[in-house]
Amino acid sequence: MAVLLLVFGLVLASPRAVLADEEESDRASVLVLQSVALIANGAPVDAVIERVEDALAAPDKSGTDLALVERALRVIQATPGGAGLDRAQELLVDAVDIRFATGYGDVPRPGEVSHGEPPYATGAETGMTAVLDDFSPARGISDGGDVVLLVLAAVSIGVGSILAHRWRPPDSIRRLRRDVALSEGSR
Amino acid sequence: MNTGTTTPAGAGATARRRSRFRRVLDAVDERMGISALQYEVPEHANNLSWSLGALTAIGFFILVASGIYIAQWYHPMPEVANQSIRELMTGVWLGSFARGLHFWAAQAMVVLALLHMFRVFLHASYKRPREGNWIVGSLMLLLAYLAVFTGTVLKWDQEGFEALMHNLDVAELMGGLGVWFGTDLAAQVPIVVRLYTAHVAVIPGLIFALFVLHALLVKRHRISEHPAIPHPEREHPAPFTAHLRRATAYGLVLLGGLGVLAVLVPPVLGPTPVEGIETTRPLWMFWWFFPFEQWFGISSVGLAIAAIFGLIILVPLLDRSPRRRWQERKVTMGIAALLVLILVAISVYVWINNPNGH
Repeated sequence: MAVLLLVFGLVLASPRAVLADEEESDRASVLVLQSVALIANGAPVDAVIERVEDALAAPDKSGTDLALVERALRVIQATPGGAGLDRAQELLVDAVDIRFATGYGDVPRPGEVSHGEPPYATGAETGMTAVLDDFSPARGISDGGDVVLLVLAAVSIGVGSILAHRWRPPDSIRRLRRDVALSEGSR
Repeated sequence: MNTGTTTPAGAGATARRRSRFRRVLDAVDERMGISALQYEVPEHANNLSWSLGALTAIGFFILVASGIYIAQWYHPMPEVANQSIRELMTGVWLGSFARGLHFWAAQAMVVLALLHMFRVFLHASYKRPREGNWIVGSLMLLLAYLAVFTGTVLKWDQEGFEALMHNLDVAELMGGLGVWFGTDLAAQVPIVVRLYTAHVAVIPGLIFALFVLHALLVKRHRISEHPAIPHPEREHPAPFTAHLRRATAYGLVLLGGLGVLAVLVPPVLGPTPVEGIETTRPLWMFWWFFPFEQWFGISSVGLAIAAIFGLIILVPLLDRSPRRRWQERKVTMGIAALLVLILVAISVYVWINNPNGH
């Protein structure tokens, strides 16, 4: 009973929705980037609105086109159910200079290492210079190549199954157990 | 014309060819000792449930092969890591298939390892004198988890980055012990590059070394007897090579199944990562640890990981009774069932309350 209660309690326990991993930034440009990432990752609309509002209220507004951010907020609020998130994402991306927000320079060329401050991301820096949407390849059969691969996979399954059957041991475990049970019963 | 009969001259030629082949085999065996693989295994070991360990190893070799292919195009610098996977999947011949195979093989390996350990646990095959081999196997499971974890980070999408952040938090809590897992050790080097070396060299190397030890210990102790078949003389033993042969046949089925999944359900790659948000759900096998942060703080994640793997590793030391039938081990089976139920409950909790997974 206690176990069932535990299971029930765990399933129904209320989660904290979207967590900030660390202290919130006071830079509007960073908060706008985070709003873009929340949209790209399919976060709840409330979490996106909250982050955009934080960006508008941030003390450091440098490098951010606040008019575009406000427009993005209006678009989200005017389209319930998240229908306007794609348009809002475009506006938010236009509102900031990503390299300014992240502080990253161009991708380094060969020879640009070990000279003072590295011109590339180090440690746990993301190195992100563009918020790309998720990449979801189409499920199912897309072209002739997929058909060939599926046929080869089916052949592998078929040949493997036939060989596993052909190379099976003389007795199954069930039969061995039954024989033991029978011999013990006859004693 | 071939009449289907063998002439004496033909039979002689076949025998000569066979004896030449035999001589080659003997020569190789004399130098490489391959006949050591001919040791006897009991009949029950040639069934599917007793071949799960070999299937796990086959999963590992599929991972190595697909991983070598993927590695030719993967770029471990943070600025381009995510993009290089997109290019692999869209612009490289069989790139999407290889990544799909790698993705599904990783999960299959963990599932097969868990099933193998469940089989060993159910039949108490970890009991004397095989306690050491259980511990070796448990360490391999831990390494498999680390391999999946580092692979998740290498995608360098939001999910991978958030996983890394948890790793860094736990490393910080470990103090000096966590220095290898943190950024302070080599501040000028992107940690994704260091995790890449761990993923492609350190972890698979350790898994392989432990796999060799595991296999040698299996040979030394022989495959354990089935607790419900206490009279091994009733079985028809076969050489270990027959066990390998049947496991390879199962491996073909596994490979085909993974190929189907790789084509029909290719893995998603998430958006490029941004710091300061936490919005993704990890892969199912990390759900057991994931919500502890929400409930009790980040340190509890490290404690949960240590508790679960510690408990698995210590199984042979905690259960010292000589009984091997599961029906006679009520306390052990009861505790195990309770733990499994808790892990399932936590998984359901994560599934329901954190729907935003890839």
